[in-house]
Amino acid sequence: MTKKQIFVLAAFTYLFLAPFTYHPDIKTIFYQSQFLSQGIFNIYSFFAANPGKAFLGPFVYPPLAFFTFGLLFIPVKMIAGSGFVDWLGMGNDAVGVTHIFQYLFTIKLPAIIAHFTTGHFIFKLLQGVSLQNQKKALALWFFNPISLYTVGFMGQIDSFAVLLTVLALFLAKKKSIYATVLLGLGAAFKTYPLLVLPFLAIYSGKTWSKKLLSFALGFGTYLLFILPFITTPAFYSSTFVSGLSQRLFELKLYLGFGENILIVPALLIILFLFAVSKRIENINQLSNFFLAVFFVTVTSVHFHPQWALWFLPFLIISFIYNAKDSSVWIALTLLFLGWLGNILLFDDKFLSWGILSPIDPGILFLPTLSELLHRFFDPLLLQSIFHTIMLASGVYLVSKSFKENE
Amino acid sequence: MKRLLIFVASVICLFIITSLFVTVFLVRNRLDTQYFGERFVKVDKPFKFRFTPIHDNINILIIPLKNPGLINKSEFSLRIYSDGNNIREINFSGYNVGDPSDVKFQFEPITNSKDKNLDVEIISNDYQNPILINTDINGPSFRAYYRSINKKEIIGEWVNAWGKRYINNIPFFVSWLFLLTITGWLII
Repeated sequence: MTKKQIFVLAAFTYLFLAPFTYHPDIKTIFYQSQFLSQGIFNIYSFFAANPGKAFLGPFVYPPLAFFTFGLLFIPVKMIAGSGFVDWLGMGNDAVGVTHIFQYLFTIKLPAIIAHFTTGHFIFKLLQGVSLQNQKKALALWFFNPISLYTVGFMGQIDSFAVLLTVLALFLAKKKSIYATVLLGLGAAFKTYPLLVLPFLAIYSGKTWSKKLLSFALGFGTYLLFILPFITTPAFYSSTFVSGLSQRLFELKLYLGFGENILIVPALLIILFLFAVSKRIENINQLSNFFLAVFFVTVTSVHFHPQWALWFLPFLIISFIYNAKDSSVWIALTLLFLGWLGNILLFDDKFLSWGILSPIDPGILFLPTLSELLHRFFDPLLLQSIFHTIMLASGVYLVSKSFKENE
Repeated sequence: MKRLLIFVASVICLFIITSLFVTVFLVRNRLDTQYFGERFVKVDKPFKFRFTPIHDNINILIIPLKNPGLINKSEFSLRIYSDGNNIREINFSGYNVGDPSDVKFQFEPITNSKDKNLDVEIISNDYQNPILINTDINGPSFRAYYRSINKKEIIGEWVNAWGKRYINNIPFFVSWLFLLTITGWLII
């Protein structure tokens, strides 16, 4: 099978699934971003001043996400056709509208295109390996449960930030200064790429002053986008006091007297010190640090399904170098199983049956899998088991990737 | 190539089978009537509307309501009348109404509801801080569901509903199938 055939087969699969599956997140983002075309620049203060317009919640992403989807809204609206704007303004359960399939297909297209572009760059990043392994990586990228579910079914916007982190790694390979700029852009879209900026800076600069300059360039790019909003209180409450930034501090060891050891930040600091002491010498080592940082961050918290996309490209790159070992295949299968089991047991109707609700709106009345299982045993325990399986198999894969590099 | 094709075919088959299984064997409440409003208006006096179900056993009404600032905590009643008789009554509180939210009213199925005019009324004991309802000049936004357990009937209804959805979306489905055909042809 050629590279082109894998891309086309993936396109067939994603385009087939896109119109019939639904998650409200992408609809909410397009609803919120449409205000850019009405001349609203500061969406955070606009929603704070007009709570009636923010009935689908505040805008929780950094500004670049608003500008990107605000601009994408124009062509998407043209393709989606009549009634699209009205539909965006409806509640989360609005799956019974006449043109639902057209709307879903159209709003997912940007995320799917970003995902395919990422696939292209993963292929390019693996130019040192055999063509067969490059194609294996591509097939894995498109046909794994995480990609199919979060991009094909949900159309999550994380695929844009993921593309920027992979592009940053690709440019870092060529020692380009633009690599850190891309990470800064990624952070201006969704904050998490900032976590790997210090690692990229260590790799990019030969001297400490160059490393610092590299870091400043990436962070400066991020600041450039958030600076106009720095005096908006709603910007802080919407983007910083939600999601990952709070969850990073949840896993802790109590020391007494109100003091805790924060596990995730501690692990990240240890990884950073390792990076400093080992000196990241090649792009594979840098990719491994990207993998380790994102994996630790995601699996050590109560994660959202799409967060698994953050580490996936780097996991696949590392996997390709270790694929000869059958234990790595088993670990990868367990990781996917753990992830799938975990998210299907979320007590959120749109993450289990509800994802199929465009096929029959009555599906939204079904109890979630978690509610169904509750009659027999504790679904949270089962979910924790799946999470543990994912974490353990992932830790094995990450350690393998570092060993291979030694 | 072969293994990947088998995988993709399996994913698509699994998707279709799961969707059919869930729809036919698990779903009990099916969409009967829906209407979409344009704006929220205050419910500062008893609010009434009428609809005529196209199925028996109507058992759920979903109405988009809005409680600005979640201030209203008073008691409400939703009453359903048929031929002037109060046949169902559900009490709820301002606590149940978000800013806004799709409020779900589930009740015992109304047998013989098909083609019968049902009058719905929302009343409150306090109109000081009124809640709002999504509506337009023809009536409020709402969705009515009916309970269905007859498998044969379900399959018939499902096929019928999909036929209507296909006809209403012909330009999209034609373009979509065209796109899939091209990609399918490129694979070969």
